[in-house]
Formats: sequence, C-alpha cells, structure tokens
Amino acid sequence: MTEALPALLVFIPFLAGVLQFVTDRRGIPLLPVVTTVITAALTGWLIADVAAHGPVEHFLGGWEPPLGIRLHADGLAVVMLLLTAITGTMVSVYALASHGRHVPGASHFWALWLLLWGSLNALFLSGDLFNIYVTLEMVSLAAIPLVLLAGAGKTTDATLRYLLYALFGSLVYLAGVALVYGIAGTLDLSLAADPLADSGFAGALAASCLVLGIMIKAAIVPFHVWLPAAHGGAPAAASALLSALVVKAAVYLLLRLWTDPLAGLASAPAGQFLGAVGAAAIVYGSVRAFLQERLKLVIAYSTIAQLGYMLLFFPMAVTLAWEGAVYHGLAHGIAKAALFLAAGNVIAYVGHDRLRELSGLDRPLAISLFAFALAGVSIMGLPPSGGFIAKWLLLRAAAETGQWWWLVVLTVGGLLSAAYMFRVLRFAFLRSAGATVDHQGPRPGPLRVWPTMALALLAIALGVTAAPILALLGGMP
Amino acid sequence: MMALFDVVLVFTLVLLAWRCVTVTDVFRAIVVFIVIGLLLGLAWARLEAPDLALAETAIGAGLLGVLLLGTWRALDAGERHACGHHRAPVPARWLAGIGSAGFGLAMLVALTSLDGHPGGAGELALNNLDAAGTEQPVTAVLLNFRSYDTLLEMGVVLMALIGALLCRAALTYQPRAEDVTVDTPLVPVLVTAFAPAVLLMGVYLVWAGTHSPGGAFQGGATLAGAGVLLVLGGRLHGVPHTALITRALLILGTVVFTAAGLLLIPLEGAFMAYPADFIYPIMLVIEYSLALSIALSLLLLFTGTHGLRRGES
Repeated sequence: MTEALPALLVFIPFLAGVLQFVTDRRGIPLLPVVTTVITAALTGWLIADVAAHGPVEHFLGGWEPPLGIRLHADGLAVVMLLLTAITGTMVSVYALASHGRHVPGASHFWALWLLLWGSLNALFLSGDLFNIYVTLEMVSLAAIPLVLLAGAGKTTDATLRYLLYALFGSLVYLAGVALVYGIAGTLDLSLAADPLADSGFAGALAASCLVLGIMIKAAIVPFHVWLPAAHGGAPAAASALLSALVVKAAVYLLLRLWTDPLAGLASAPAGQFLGAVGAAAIVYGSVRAFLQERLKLVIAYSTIAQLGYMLLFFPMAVTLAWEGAVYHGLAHGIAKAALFLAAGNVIAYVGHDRLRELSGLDRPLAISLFAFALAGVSIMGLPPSGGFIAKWLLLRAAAETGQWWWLVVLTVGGLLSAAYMFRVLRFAFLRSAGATVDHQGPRPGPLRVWPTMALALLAIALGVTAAPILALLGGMP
Repeated sequence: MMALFDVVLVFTLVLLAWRCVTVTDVFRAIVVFIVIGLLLGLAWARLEAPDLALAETAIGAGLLGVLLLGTWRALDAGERHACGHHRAPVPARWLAGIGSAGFGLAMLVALTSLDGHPGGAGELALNNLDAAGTEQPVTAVLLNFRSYDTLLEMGVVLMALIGALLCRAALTYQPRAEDVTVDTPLVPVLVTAFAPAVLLMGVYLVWAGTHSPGGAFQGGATLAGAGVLLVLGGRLHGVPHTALITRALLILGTVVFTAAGLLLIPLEGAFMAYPADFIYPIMLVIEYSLALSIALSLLLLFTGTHGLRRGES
C-alpha cells in the first residue's frame, strides 16, 4: 500500500479539484474538507513511512525508467510535502470562512486550490525532467487564475504579466529538457546525471536553460517584476499559497536539479554566481519591502528577499548549507502564509491595507496582529524560531567553508528584514492612539483568526523541532 | 528537388516570423501567424513527424488562429490601432533581438554536436510496442509509457479554461449584433455541408491514433473545429451560465483516465498499469473521452462562455 501513496497524494487532490469544478457550489464545504483531511493524513503516513523505512519509489504504469516515469519520495521531497500539507491545511481552514459557499468565485477558488495541491505534490514527487515540466505548468496554471479571484478586472494586468513570465520560463526550461534528452537519451533525473557530466557545451547550455527557466518561475531578481502585483493583489488565502508554496516549488526544483542530474556540471563559479544573485535578491527585496506603503506589498517584496537565502546553498554546497536552505524554505513558507493570512484579516476588517492608516488596529485585531509579529520573528531570524535555525545553519556553513562574505550578506539581510517588519508593527502598535481606525467589515471570525495564529506558532515551534525534520531530510545527496 | 523545397520552406518561415513581429497592423500579424502555423505543420511533415504536423496544423494554426481572430474582433477600432503601435523601448528590443539570436546560435551549435543517441528511451519504446497494446509509437508513449504526463496535461487544459473564463468575466465586451447574425445565405449552407464532414474526420482521427498518426489531441481539436463552424453558422450559441452536463463532459476525459489508473492499482500493483488482454479497448475508451473533453474545452475557449446552447436556425 505504501508504494501507492505517492500516486494517491497526487490524484486525490487532483480528482477532488476536478469534481469541485463539476459540483460547483454544492460541493462546498464537504468536498474541500474531506479532501484536505485525507490528503493531510496521507502525507503524514508517507512521511512516517519514509522516516522509518527510507525513500519510497513508484514506477507509473509498471514501466521502469528510462521508458516510464518514476515517482520518488525521498527526504527532500517529503519535507516539501510536509510544508505543503501544513500550509495547505491551515489555508483551507481559513478559506472555509473567506471562500464559503456564497462568496462569488468560491467554487473556482476551491477547484484551483485542490488542483494546485495535487500539482505541487506531483512536482515534489516527480523523478523525471519532462514530467517536472508538466507539473511546473500545472502549478503555474493553477496559481495564475487564483490571482484573478480578487474581483472583476482588478488584477487582470498583474495576472497577464505573471502568465507571460511563467510561460516564458516554461519554454526556456523545456528547451533545456529537450537538450538533456538529446545528450542523455533519458529524462530520468538520476539516469541523466552521468551522461550530462561530460557533455561539454551542449550540457552547459542545457543546464543554463533549466536553471534560467526555473529562476524566472521563482521570481529571482531580476525576474521578480511579476511577483509583487500578483502576490499583493490576490485574495489573502491565494497570496498565502502563492508566496509560501508556488515560488518555493521552483526553488526546490533548483536544489533538486543541482544535486542530482546537474551534479556533474555544477562548478564553483556557477555556484558563486547563483549565491551572488541570491544576495542581490536579499538586499533588493528587503529595501523595496521597507519602502512600500501597502501591507501586502511589504509581504510580497519580503518573499523576493527571503527566496534569496535559499540560493546561498549553491556557493557553499555542504551539508550544513543544504540543511539551512531547505529548512529556510520550510520556515519561510509557514511564516509567510501566516503573514498573508494576518494581512487578509486586516483587509477584511478595515477594507484596505494602507500602512499609514492602520494605527489603533492592535485592539480589535489583537490575535491577528500578534500572529503577524510572531511570524515576523521567524522572518527576521530571531531565536527561538524556524527562521533562526535556518540562518544559523547557513552562518555555520559559511564559517565552515571559509566564505566570510556570505556572513555579511546573512547579517545585513537579517537587519533589513527586522527593519521592514518593525516598520509595519510600528504603524499598527506604537502610533496607536486608541481605536482610531475606520472599519468597514465585521471583526474576523475564529476560522480566520486561529489558522493564522496556528501558522505563526508553528513558525516559532520550528525553532525546537529541527532535529527530527533534519533527520528526515538526510544529508546532501 | 525536396532539398530545394526545404530551403524555400525554411526561408519562408524565417521571413514570415520576421513579418509577424515587425508588422504594425494586428490583423496582419494574426494572419501571418496562422500561415506560420501551417508552414510549421509542413516542416514537421518533412521531418517525418506526422503526429506533430497534425497537432501543429489543427491546434497551432487552426484553433489558435480562431482564438486570436476572436480576440481581434473583441477590440474596438481605437484599441486595434493602439496595440499595433505600442512599441517596446529600443533597449528592450535590442536585448530581445540579441538574446534570441544568441540563444538560436547556441542551440544550433549544441544540437549539431549531438549524436542521436542509440539505445535511449526512444529506441526502448520502439522495442516495447508489443507490450503497449498499440503499434503507433506516439500513442504508446502518450497513453501507456508516459500516460501520467498526458493525464496531468488534461488538468492543464481544465485550469487554462477556468483561467480564461475568469479573465473573460472581467471584460465588458459583448458580441455586437452584426457579429453574430448571419447575413449571407452561403454560411448556413456551407456549415450544413462542412460540419458533418469535419465531425467525421475528428472521430476518425481519434480512432486512427491507435494504429497511425492521430489521437485524442488532434482529433479533439478537429472536433472543436466543427464546433467553431457551428457557432459561426449560428447553430450553437455561447451562454454565460453552465449546465451540469457541460461540466461533466469537460472533466469526462480526466475522470475516466484517472479512474482506469486508480481502479487497477490492486490488480496490477502500479498506478496506470493496464492488464495485457484489455489494453486496446481501455485505450480506445480513454482516447474518446479525452477527445470529447478537449474538444469542448477548446470550443468554450473560443466562445469565452461557461456553456453552450443550440441556436434557433
């Protein structure tokens, strides 16, 4: 039965999304609730199995690679599945309130989100380059319409820009896949590694195409221009999914390809280059986040900065850096989802998210703002939080490899993120002269408040659960 | 002789591509784009890839062209003029030009250094056709060896449709009366004559996929073409609300495909493994349900509506 788990993890949410499309409003809330419970439970089962017995493989159709496609649940894949299940479950609970049966577009939201969940699971479990292209397309095409749900015409421009960038990234990636097939005669991630290792110019070009395509999808500087408007303009539940999971999936892919099929091609200068791009993303994203006047844009620019930390794995390429980068992905995903959900509560109550008009919010929205501050602790990398563990691992990796310049980047990045986080809190708390804020909506109910708080607490709890998760992840492949 | 044909084909393609990106009139750019699709179909045929040639002509030239023309019709005169004369800044154009040229050159060098790889997955697929239940290698890959990819692609089609409908909901465009009424007696006659033939061709293409070039995507696109004819002739109308039957048909392919994969796990031990004796009928059922869903999805992309209704005439 455990061999079928990877296939079930893809197809249960996938099929549920399709059925949600057919049943329209009548399926809400039963179908989403049942699917969320089953998918989260199956993810837990697979994680427990991988922790106990090692990686699980599934040959689809019974055809072994290179002929068929391999699903592969190893440490890295299940950590990403864990992130998806935790964030997904909490966002699902939140969306029961924000996208209930009578909300316009609710049926489309749930259909797209369940399809997105299946697509993300498919991406993390895939062991095949072309199949990864298909799953990348699925993730993008499920994510992009989610931005449109903000309301008629509000986000059309942002969505179309996102679509064009995503399609361009896919095409570049696909060119790389075609070259890899030409070089290696196989699309399997592991089987392609040896032929690629001594393939000269064609291999280098293939690797460049794969990496470039993924970087466009992951909104790495300078390909970030589509992200702020899309993530900032989407409904809160969708923003949380996009920032915590969708762009993270692309960075995951970079880690996966670098350490498996491209391992023989990965040179030190290329690693340093990716690290430098990551450093640029950290500084640029943080500074822009500090300058924003709208809450959701602060969080969106923060995503651009935080993704940069995961790129610091490439120049160091030791186990500590590997653990740090993956743990950062996990910690950032959970904290970022909490931030976006908290921002969603603010917008639901006040009707806007203009920072300068938020003073006095600490009284009516105490729990949401507390959750925002807790998640902010993890984003800043203060102890005891998941973000602290991740940055500590990266700092130790920089010291171990003697690359002191990354120490500078990590320190500056931490200070900058503290600056933009405290700026937001200052507007909400310190300038508070009492309940001065005009509000248009009702106070957010428990279904909106508690998932936000739960995610924020989990982001802090990750500070003490590092040992079992890093044991699950295993060393650098 | 064929070498001369190839040279002319290549030069025409490059020339048309240049025209397509430089011409300022949007309508002309669309027409050139459609011609490029047709010539690309020819190029694939010359490269002995008839499946790709069919797909490129039916989807790349046919349906994509119809969609582009539909979009063009939705613009008013001012917008038509504006989008032709909106130009990217000069540095961006140079960057795009140099980037494309550099990328093309690098691909050329890389591709000519490859040796076609004997013993790769492609050769393995050809040697395993007996076990795949079809003598057509492309169908064997799409519906058996890598059926997982095909199934996920059906999800892509559905999500693209949802996205397009959500996007469309934001537009204020309503078809003008003169766009939908048919003022010449020729159109109904032509639709009556052509639509059944195109339908038959679509059904044949799907069936043909089991033993020769064709299959669900090409057949589905052709069926959608028949639907487009019926819409243009006023026999079918797009309606803003959706019926259960429409949504059920849209997901039929995905559900049949997934159900076949999931239900056989206990028997075969792997997702999407089929029992050897029943491969052919299973594949035929899957192909036809996929084709129906693809056809309806493409047709709804064209009408930009959630549903369809029979016309009065």
